[in-house]
Amino acid sequence: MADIMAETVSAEERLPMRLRALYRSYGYTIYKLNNFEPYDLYRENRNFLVNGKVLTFTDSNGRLLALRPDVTISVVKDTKPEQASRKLFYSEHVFRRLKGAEQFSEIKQMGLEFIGAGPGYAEAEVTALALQSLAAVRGPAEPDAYFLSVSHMDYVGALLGELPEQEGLRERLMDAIRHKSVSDIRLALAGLPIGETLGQALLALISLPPQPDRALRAMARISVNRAMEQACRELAELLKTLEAWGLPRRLRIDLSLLNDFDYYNGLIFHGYLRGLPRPVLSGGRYDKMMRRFDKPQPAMGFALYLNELQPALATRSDYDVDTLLLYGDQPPAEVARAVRDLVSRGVSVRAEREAPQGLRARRILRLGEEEP
Amino acid sequence: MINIALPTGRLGKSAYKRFQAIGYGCPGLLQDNRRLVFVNAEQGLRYLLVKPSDVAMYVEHGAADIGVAGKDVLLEDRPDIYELLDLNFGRCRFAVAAPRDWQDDCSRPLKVATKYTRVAREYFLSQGRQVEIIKLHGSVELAPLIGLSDVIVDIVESGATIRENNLAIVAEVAGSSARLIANKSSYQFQMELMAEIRNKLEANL
Repeated sequence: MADIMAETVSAEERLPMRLRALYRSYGYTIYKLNNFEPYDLYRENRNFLVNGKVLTFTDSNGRLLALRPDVTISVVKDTKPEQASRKLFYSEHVFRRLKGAEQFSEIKQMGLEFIGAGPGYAEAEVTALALQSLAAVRGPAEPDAYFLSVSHMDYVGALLGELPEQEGLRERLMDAIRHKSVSDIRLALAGLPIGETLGQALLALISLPPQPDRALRAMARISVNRAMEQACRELAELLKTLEAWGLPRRLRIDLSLLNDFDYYNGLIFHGYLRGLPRPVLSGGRYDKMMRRFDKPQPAMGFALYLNELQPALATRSDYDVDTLLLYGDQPPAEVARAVRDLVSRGVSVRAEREAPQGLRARRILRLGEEEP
Repeated sequence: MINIALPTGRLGKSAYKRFQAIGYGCPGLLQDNRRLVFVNAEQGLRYLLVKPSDVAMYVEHGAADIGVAGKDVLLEDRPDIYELLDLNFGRCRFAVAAPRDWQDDCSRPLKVATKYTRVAREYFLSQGRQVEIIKLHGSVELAPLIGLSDVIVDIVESGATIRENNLAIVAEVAGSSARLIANKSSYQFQMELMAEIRNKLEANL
């Protein structure tokens, strides 16, 4: 059985198994969800969703339901306020309209949620699992194929909080920061009554050194309030804890990574894989989302987009099957014996009366003419 | 190998000359008018020449690691990319233009003809003015002259085309120039090289 697994299971099928084993080994249990949720759940949290679009339908009682566009909201909703800690992972389909697409897609997602994960060990555990999830995609043969970009919402939020109130300013700056655009930051700040230190800090935000310890020192230098200093301490603690884990140094601090301030706070991250144009993993702390549902716990999680990973996992084979067994008018029992023999030798076989069009087989056997 | 998407035409030529000046040249690129891909294997460079409005798409989808695109295109298409440097050439601006004697009638939505529907919509939204956007693909200046629209939102360089069509600029929307852009994922893996290119280009501005 083990041999068959190794021979015939593709990387695409193997990854979810590896991830399940990884998450289980850290005490996370599988979580199954309903495919449908009341539409109101998403209407009230539209900005949390990747693009706010939801596929809806009416059930037999006239209730408006939605095909789940996200897993985290459902987990938050299902959590009882008194549950101090929940460690869950899931492997589910979500329904989203991808950027530029006219229609909804069914997207395979694997992810993990840690309800009760505050700063300290818990936060480092989720980050370490995100790093190990990325490492699992290409395996030990390519140890430098991934990066986890880490940002801190409270740090950036506290810096933006120093700016004067002006309509649209915060949004313009967030947009400029997300694009690492020096010129757009300067444009947004032009004419504002702010000191030079603040302007310099905003520019430094998007050009941190690649080494995490140096980035952290730069962040400490430009901190202008307690919240920023606290965020630096949290990140320093995280780096130290990850160091103790002995994981490869595939983490970077990148403050241009920003999520919605209404839902996220603290640590957030994106995972990148060499050769894939978009992040394949996304996660972070969402205590604020918990508050919206009147849940007092902190919480953190991440999701791995298996559809984005598909090009990295697809193994192109020249053949669809090892052996095409053509059995014509041979008796079924003869065919069954031949098929069983081939399969037991570890050969994949497709038995057909006649050759199907377009099938690529390594070899063709005709039952009755030649002994397999 | 780093893939660099450059726009065809004048903007691309100016961009390429700047890359050449910092030591990232590629033989034949300025002479050959038909080829769209140029490789400098020694330095690990590949230039892709693409339609100016497509550069950001190539970069966003990872077909190119970096590229040079006009801010006008970035403002309209909003690709999810990094904008590493303002290259300070290819300067132009988005403006609202109207017939010379035009006066806004605030009792009804303003009819706006434009190629840049997003830029136009967001500008008028920020002004609190209701609009009806008419998407055109060319000869936008004609629209207000024949009553298709009240005003236009378009790219203006010298303003000559606007004047020749008896229009006048009534408001400036946003400035534009060529920008060095990068794919967000490629940036993680080629950060040092991209930073070097960016810094050399900046030093040569």
